[in-house]
Amino acid sequence: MISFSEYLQGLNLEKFKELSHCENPAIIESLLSSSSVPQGPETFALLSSPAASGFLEKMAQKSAALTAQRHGRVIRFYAPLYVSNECTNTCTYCGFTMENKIKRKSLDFTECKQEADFLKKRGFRHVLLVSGEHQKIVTPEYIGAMVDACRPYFPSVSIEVAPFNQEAYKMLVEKGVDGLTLYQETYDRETYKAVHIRGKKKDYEWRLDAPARGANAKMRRINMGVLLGLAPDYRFDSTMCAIHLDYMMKYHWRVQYSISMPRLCSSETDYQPAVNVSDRELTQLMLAWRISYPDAGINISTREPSYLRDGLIGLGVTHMSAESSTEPGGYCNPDTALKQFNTTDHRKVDEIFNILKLKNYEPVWKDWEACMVG
Amino acid sequence: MNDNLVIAGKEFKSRIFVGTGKFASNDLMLKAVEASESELVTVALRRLDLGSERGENITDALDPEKYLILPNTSGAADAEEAVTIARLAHAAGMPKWVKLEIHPDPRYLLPDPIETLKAAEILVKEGFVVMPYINADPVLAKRLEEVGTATVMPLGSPIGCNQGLKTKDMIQIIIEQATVPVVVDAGLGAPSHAAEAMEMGADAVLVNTALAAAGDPAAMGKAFADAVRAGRTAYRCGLAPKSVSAEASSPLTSFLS
Repeated sequence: MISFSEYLQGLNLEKFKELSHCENPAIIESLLSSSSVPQGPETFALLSSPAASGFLEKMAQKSAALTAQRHGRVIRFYAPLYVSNECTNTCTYCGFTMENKIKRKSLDFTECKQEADFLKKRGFRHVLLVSGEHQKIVTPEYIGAMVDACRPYFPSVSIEVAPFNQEAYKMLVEKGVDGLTLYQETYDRETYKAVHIRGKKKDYEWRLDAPARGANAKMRRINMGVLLGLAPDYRFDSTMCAIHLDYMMKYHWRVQYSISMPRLCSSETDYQPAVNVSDRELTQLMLAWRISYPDAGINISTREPSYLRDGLIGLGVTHMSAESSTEPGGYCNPDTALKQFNTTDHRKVDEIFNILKLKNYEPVWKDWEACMVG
Repeated sequence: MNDNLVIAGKEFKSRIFVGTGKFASNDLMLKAVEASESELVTVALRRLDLGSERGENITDALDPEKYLILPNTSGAADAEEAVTIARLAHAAGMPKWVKLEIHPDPRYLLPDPIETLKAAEILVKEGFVVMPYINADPVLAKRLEEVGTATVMPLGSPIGCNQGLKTKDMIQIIIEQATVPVVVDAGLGAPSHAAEAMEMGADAVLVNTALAAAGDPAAMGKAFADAVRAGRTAYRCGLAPKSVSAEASSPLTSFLS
């Protein structure tokens, strides 16, 4: 099977770049008035272009219909559980960067269980274990232990950790991990090099091929994305992610895919985003994802402001987090360790559920049965 | 950049493949093949008398310089029979390519998905370029790709029925997901059917009955060649969209203003 890097060699990326820079509204008009808009990265590129920014309402109508048809009137809820902020990378934009020499913390088995217990009592059944990337401390074995701690509490455990090798992913799948979240951060090699200064994360290719390794290890769900604000050309950067998703869907077709569009948030760094993606532009990106990949899940985390999260319900979002803490141990003992970034939507779960009800949407806590893996 | 079709490293200028059964004579078959501009012709091994003197077989009439002669396993009812036929064809000096057809059902000749997957796995391991004839089942298409087949060949409708693309929606999914060429095989009774398949993005079509049963097979071969070319061009340049109903009026993006 060819790797994603090999797959890219057969593509004319300049053509995709051109599409993502399209300024001709007639092309977008024609695309959107089609009874069946073709799926795929070309459509994504066009719908994320400047020309498409004038068609937001039309895209929203289409996207809302597709979302209701393919995903129903439900939103699935998950919570991030930060297990460690130890990190051996220097990434200029991240609060966990090695340069921040304060308040490092890795949960032990008992602490992880306490956090899990807390989230379970809050109602969560899907948990995402998140950590920094520390070669010696946050090893596959350590993550495996945290999975063991969580399994009694949650039917679904996903991970967002350093890219591991296939064997490690396989071990984690056998322990019951069913989902892998891994963002390339940016597909723009120059930006990637500029912001990842030290550590294993400098290895672009190792990260790029990680979703495929996860799929080979039989992960059921894979969540991909770019960190908006890193590469100046966020449209083409997102289009590259669409091409990656397309490759994954073709070559690793058993996996259920979802997309996140995280925007850089303020953290304990002085990094200034290369581009500020506005709420409007973020909405356009989400609509572009939905229309070009009707079956993909779309996540919106508590990074985003409440008004935007509420507005996007029904337009494409399928998964949301709520009442999140981004520091290890932050649910039981808040404000004792370093956070990765500052969240924006601080509302209680119940408050968000009320919004869903008003919109005639159903919140879903549990959508997986642990006996199917592990 | 040329628009040649590439299968297992071999380039084809033409995107129409022709089956050689049912023609009233070898001569009519040859003329139809020629007019269709095809460069790949499939022959049922069971039709060949491998012990006979030169001149009696269909393959003797076909110039191997001009056509890739693709032996097919038509007649095989299970994986074992199909594998035997493929090995035999190769042993008889035919290319190590095979169109894998396994149809235990003698009435509609519908392909057996389980036996086809089994045989494909064995033949790929033995180094054959395998082109399986299948029902338009997207999951089966992916499973065959995974074992290493060179193409997938979903049927438009049951073989020989000339009903066209009855499986269109499933073929669309197969095309969308495929990482190997998709050849629509069986059921294409008219040039318009072939054009439709090509417009959808099929990489090639295979026809037989539509030519063999035509009043003038050679003229029909030409008609199919034109249709396939037209369909391919339409696909490449992007069809104009059919318009949809009016837009809903309640604004969904007002929260942004």
